[in-house]
Amino acid sequence: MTEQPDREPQDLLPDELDELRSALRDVPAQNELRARAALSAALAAHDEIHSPAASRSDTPTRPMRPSRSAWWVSAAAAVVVLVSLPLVMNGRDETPSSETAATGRSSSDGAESPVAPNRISADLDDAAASAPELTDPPVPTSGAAEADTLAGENLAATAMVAPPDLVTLAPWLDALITRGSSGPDLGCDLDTGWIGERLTLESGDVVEIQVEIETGHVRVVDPEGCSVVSSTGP
Amino acid sequence: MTRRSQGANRTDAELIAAGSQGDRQAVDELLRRHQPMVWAVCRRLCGDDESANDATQNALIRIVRGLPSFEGRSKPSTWIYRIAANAAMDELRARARRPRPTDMVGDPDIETVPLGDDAVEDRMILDPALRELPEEFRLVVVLRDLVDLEYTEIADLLEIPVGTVRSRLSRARRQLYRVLGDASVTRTGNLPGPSPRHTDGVDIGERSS
Repeated sequence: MTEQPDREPQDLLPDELDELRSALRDVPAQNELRARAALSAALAAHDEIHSPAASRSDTPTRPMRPSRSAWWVSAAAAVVVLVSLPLVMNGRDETPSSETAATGRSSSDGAESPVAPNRISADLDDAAASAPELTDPPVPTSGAAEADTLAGENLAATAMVAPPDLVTLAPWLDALITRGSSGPDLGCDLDTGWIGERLTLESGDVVEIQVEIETGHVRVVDPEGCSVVSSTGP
Repeated sequence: MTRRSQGANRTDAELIAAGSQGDRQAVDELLRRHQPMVWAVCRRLCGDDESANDATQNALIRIVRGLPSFEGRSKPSTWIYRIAANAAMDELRARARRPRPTDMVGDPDIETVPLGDDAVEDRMILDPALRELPEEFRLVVVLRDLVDLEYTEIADLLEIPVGTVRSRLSRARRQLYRVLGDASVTRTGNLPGPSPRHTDGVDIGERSS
């Protein structure tokens, strides 16, 4: 049936409409912790706007309990560390380009512009030959500079990894996972409180990124369960 | 309690004006007042708790950041729920670009449906039914039948003619009600009684815009 905007549409009977509306309005209540966290984040944004002394941040205050977005931040940090390390990757250095990591989506209102996967792939290939090899862990900074630092350096396995800016890394991670994700999900281990996801990197290596629910700690393990790298989460 | 009483006496417009000038209490009151509906809009548009949580938080932040730019051309509530709807749709599009994370087994946001609870079952059935609707139909039915926006407000928000709003709303309602009706048959085994759904063109049950 094509739309005919000038005609009154045939609609439900009153009792049917009431039934539908009742069902629509029967929305499950938001988790109280998440509701409070959202409110806190919004008020923190207000404080940022109206407190000149407050340091600006590109991302809103996150709840202590890692949200899904925080999970991605932790996973992004772990994957960036992972691909920068000569671990199970047979000596290959595939360091994402800092240029790639610098592109991202804004957390404020507006259009989102994720980086195209093909472009990321090309950037990774280009960066492979010129990836610098450093031993010192990066100094956490804010915004794109932080992402550039993490993307361009090799990190010690036990280095404290400051979570990169979600804005800059999320699209890269999305594209990487979208292209490479395979294998079964690990699910949630209620006994240990970890959740995980198996990823197949472009190199073909399979790793498992696990996040501890309560603390946001991230660990990356190989398929045999041996720890590859770990870091603290946000 | 005095703080809340003072806040509760102010209109949305007053709270927005005060909040844009840095009145944190006003912002707090404004957000608390509308957060339940913002959540409801996001929950219905996103279809799951996790996405709705992210969308709700983003919506509240956008509201705060947008306070100085509110010009009063629309009702404050319309402006707020427009932001909520946009945040929800942005979250949906972002989610479509990435695979869903692992099953959140044991996550307190995941609903468990008690057997035999028709109201809860309706809610669980409605979520996938809403996701089946095209985005533009889903928006219209949520904004009208959940938020109670007028046709003209929805038309202005979506930048479409009022007639298109009515048309999309009608089709969305019929599709959703058909899902509820099928679920009722499944539960009871009885076919719903005959009810003429079509009239000679009169828009039954609609408020005038």
